[in-house]
Amino acid sequence: MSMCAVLRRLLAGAGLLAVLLVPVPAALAQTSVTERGVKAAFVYKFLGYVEWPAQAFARPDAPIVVGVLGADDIAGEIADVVKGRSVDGRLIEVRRLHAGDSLAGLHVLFIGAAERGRTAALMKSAHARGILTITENDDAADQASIINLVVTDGRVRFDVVLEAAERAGIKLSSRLLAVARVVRMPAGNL
Amino acid sequence: MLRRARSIRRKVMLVVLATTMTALLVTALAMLVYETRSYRTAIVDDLTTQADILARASGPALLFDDPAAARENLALLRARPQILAATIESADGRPFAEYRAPDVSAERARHLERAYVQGGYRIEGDEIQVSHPIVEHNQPIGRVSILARYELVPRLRDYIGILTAVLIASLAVAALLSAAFQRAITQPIIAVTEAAKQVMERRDFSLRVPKTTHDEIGYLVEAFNAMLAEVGRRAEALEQTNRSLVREADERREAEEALRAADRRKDEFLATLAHELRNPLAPLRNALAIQKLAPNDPRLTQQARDMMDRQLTQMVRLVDDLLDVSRINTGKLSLRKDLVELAAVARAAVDTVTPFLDSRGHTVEVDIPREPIHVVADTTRLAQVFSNLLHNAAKFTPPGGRIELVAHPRDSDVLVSVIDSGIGMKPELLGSVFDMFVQGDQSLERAQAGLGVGLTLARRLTELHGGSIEAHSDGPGRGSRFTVRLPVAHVQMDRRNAVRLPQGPARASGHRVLIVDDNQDFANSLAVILRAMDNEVRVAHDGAAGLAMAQEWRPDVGFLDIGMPKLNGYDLARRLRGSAATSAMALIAITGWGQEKDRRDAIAAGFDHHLVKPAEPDRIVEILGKVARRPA
Repeated sequence: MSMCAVLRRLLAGAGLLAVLLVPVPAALAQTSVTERGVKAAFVYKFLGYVEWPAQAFARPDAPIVVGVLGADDIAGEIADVVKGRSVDGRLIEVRRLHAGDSLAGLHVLFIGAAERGRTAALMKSAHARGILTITENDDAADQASIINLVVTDGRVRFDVVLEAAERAGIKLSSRLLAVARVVRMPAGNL
Repeated sequence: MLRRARSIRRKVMLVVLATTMTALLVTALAMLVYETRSYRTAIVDDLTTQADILARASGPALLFDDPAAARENLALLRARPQILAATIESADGRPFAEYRAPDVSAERARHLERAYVQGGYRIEGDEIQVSHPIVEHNQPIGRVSILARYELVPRLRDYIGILTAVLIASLAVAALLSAAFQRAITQPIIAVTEAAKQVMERRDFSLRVPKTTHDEIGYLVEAFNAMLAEVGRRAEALEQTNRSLVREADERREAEEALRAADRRKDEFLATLAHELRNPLAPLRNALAIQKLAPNDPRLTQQARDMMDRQLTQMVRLVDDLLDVSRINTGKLSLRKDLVELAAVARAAVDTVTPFLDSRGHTVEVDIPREPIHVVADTTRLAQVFSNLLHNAAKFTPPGGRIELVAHPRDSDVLVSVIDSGIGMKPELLGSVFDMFVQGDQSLERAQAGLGVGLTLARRLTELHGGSIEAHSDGPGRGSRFTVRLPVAHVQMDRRNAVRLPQGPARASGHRVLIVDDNQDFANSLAVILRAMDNEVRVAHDGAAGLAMAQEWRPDVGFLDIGMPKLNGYDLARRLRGSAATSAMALIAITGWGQEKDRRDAIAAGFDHHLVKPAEPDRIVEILGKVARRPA
């Protein structure tokens, strides 16, 4: 999807969303727990649209390992969401990480808002390992992760930086990109 | 008739049109059914595909709770005007995104059933709903529903319109083609029908229908023609029979009328005959009385004799005429034709009639060219023709009249006219004046006697001579003219071919004459006449006596009656011929039997001549003269 389409959608959404989609923002406003839950669900749902490098998994039925750094609540929610579920025949394993923990074995790395200050080096390391990085910075101007969750108008949206995904060797489904708020293309592709 | 023929044409047309129509209707129906089904299948497939695309595209939007993206997807349906509305719902039935075509009311958009759980379609009126599940990672997460126009009816209407147009065009073409092709079938039938009609109307069986095809109709035409010919033949035969029947009936009626007329004339004739035969009897009786009363008065007895002579002549003439007519009618009159000179015959005729003409005080003028005119004729009979005409003229001319006999020779024939200044005739009488027993005046008071056979006889005799006769009169009181036309015989005027003219008074004296007749009066009176002519005469009154007398006396002439007691005339003649003493006798039969057969019988029996009673003395004298010239 092009930037023009993104802008158009934004303009259209400004009018219609405010009117029609009342229930979710109301829920979001009520409790941040819901927002955490939605973000946890998003993380789980992203898994279906991601293609890791071939060497990322040891076995065909090796679980997808999701590491959560600086957001235990999210980690809990994700664990709830994925319980008993699989993606492409792989179970999902959630690890709570702490600063300094090894990134080895991870397929997804979620970095909570609390860890915002230390992300740059971490991102570089994660991408080098072929890990899908997800952040939750509402100020997305300096996004370094592949996917960044934002809350706009009381609704959880996400932005995608394809250059980062390329560096990590991760392919994101175009269908996922279709519902991203903003997709930043690599310089050469724009 | 014609209407029926037209109806065949119409039937053929109907058959063609009905067949075409049925085929077209079935085709149209099949097309409509097919169209209905294919349209539904196509629209369902199309909408399902559309819904599937929408479902796939909108899966992530639903998953990541992005109604705007979903709406944007739905908004693409604007390119499909037939789609009225669409919705995307989450798995639990919550509306997620909606789409409504610009001109569609919210009310109509709500027609979208929200009760669908599984995919499928539903058609209601002119709307179709299609529902399709949204599946993401094998998880049903929602549903896309589309409401679209189901335009089957207008589409079918268009189809029906097109089919109707095609139908009409096809029928028109079929009608034209059938009109062209059926001519081959109906034209011969109509021709047959037309001919049949004309035959009925005009009774003309000579009509024929031209054979134009060689199929069953051609055979029908042939059969029809043959039938016409047969009917024509039979009708012709019937008509012919009918005509001949009518003709026969006519002929029969004419014959009956002719018979009745003849019968009537015969009755009249009998009455006339009786009257005419009776008329002379009174004067005869008177004359006899005069001779008895005054036998010594020579003047009175001479007057009586003259009277008797006239009356007898009249009677003989009557009876002769009757006999002649009878002979002619029965075809027994034979002519002895010779080359004769017309003037002589005419003179003989005038001589015959002169006494009667004189008694009436008429003057006669005979105008015959000096050059001889020859005809082939029986002198006696031809003279009879002229004398009958003269007699007739004298009878119907008032006393003191003028009668002419004129001959006009022409190239091949001669016209002999008898012209009188008499009472003439009405034109209508001219045609029938020659018929037997016809008389100009049929009243009892008529002035002139006669049987009405004279002219008939004249005509018949003329015809026997190869001539003709016709009557002319300018009208009553203006005289009559009877003209005889006779063929002329052109001969060399050679003496050897000289015409045998009637001899003058023959040498009729000096004979020994035997008269054998049982009628004593006749025998004696004939004896008196012959003796008066200086002949020696003996009389016998039966055949046997006559034979004996002849043997003994040896006469040279015998006048023999035929019907006699003891020995009849034929046998007597044979005996006389058979006897040497009498074989050379001249034998003359003198009898009342006047038929030709009688004459032949007489000649066969040995007679030289055959006279019929009452033989005129002149004739007897003539015969006697001929006999005398025979070598003894």
